[in-house]
Amino acid sequence: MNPEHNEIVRDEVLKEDAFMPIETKHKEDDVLRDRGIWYNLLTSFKENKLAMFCLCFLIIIIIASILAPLSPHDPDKMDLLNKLAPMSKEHFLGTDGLGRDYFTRALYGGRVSLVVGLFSMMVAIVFGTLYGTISGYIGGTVDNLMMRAADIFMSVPSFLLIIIINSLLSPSMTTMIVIIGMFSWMGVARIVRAETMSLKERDFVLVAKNLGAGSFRIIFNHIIPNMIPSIIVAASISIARAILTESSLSFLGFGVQLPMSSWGSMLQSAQEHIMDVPSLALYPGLLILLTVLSFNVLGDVLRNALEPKLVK
Amino acid sequence: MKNYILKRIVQMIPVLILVSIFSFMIIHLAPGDPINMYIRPDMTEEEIQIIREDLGLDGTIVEQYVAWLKNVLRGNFGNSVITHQPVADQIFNKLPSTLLLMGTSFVLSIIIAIPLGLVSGMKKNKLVDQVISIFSYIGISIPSFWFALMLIIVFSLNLHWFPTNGMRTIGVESVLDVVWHLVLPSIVLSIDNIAVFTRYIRSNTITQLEEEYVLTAKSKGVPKKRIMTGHVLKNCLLPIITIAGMNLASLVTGSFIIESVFGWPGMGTLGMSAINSRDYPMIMGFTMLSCLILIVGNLIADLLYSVADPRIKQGVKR
Repeated sequence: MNPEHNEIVRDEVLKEDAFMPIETKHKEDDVLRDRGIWYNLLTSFKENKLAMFCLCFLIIIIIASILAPLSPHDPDKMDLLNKLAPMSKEHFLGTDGLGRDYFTRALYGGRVSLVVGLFSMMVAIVFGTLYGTISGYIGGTVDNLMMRAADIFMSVPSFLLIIIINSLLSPSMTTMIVIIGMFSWMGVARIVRAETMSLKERDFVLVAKNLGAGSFRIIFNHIIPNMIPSIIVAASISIARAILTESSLSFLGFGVQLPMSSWGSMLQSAQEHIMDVPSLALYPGLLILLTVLSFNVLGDVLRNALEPKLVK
Repeated sequence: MKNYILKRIVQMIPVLILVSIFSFMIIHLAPGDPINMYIRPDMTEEEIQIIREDLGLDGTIVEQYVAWLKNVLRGNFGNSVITHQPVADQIFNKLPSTLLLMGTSFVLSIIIAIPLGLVSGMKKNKLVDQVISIFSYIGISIPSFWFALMLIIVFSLNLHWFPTNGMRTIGVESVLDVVWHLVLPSIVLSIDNIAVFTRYIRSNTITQLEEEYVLTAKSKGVPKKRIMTGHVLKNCLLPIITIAGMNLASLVTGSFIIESVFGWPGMGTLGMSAINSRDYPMIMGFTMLSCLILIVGNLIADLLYSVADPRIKQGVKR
């Protein structure tokens, strides 16, 4: 019985591309004459309609939430005479239970969800990359200890701890970002560690070492730059997860606090009107679904383009 | 084998201790004194001090933790602040319904994911595959609480096929009634696992179909159906065990969210109300139990994996 074996499988599962739904159909000589990352990306998007749709959707969502202040409505202005209004020219998606313009609120909600997603991803990626490279580069006992510690993080019910922390501290956007980030770096660390271990045996690293480069320099100039493709892929998936976590938190009432709203908290308040105006519950969820889906698809497309393999 | 299990169980202890220290610290370093839950404004200082000592809330945080740990080792998780009932009793009362929900959705996801993954891998890049792939993308991306709300709107509020919440109709004591209540929550809870399992079974099927033994079987004239069920399926199930173990966290988290949407009377609902009312002993007990479920689940996955794949056992004997 070899417990290590399962760990290897886990690394493979995390790293290996398990899901290439619509594989880019490289011809053999395409891969042999590698035309570079941009060419690969471009062909992926040209061939894969789903990927193209997701990219466009994300661009629209990002631009829309940046331009949210241009909306003629104030997201927090209540108008009780006009509550639960249906779709109209003035109120694009109608109004919510307090008469606030739903479309404008969805735009501002998108800001919160995207910002939390983006920054938690950054926390997770920066910490995970440093942790993984250090662990993999040093190796031996240190590596073993560091990976055990990461395992502990992996085996705790992180969402529960996030809820507890958030309910006891006053949840601001910053605490949410830090907390979500702190509980989602382990996957990145594992991937990065596995790559570091193989990279550090490569000739160019040995040459750099023999030329007198210090560990710091080797890690930052030679090892990390070579892992950027994997890190980008992990980042895309990580944003998707962070947005899901944030919206679940806000839905349960442990996320951003009023009057600020995110898509998750919009759904929470939509629950009250689920009987008479179910469409209020429809839009925010659809936005979450499409955004998360887009980041997930994008992650897979990036993986196919950045790590070209011979697809038979 | 015995040594390995023993070693793993010993390894579980530091994890549990670290998690307990961590949650204890969060709970006790957070602003607000837990004692406020127990006292009334008209109590004197001495009375408050007595209650404080009673609850083990005097002394430094380290002393408090040690006191808590000692009690836990004796099987005493303390009393709930709200109901004054023993925490352990309450949790174990709710545990079966949560395990029922988790178990049902796990079985459901395996049953659905296997055929989907196999078909998808067999028909790689065909239309069926693309449809299944899009569905599994949706499965990993859909916020479970929203999916739950949508199902409630469609199937409960409009079609009246399934109840909106709870586990039983009041006054009705039948298995069928529980099953009827179980349908929607278990569908929601399994959607994520279905998607993840389908992904891995698909990619495994693709790699397995390229193996030489499949070619041998084909050239011997074994029908395609038998190749799929007899050879490919067996080899695909192995990694599923690992992935199921890894995905257990999503089952625990998911049941937490889904129980509160459907009002399922399980640990999730209990935990949510404990967190909302700052019922500290309950939060601690609840966190520890969730952690234990996760760790034990992972251990079982690892054990099953080595039982299912004789190659691993042989590797060590050598």
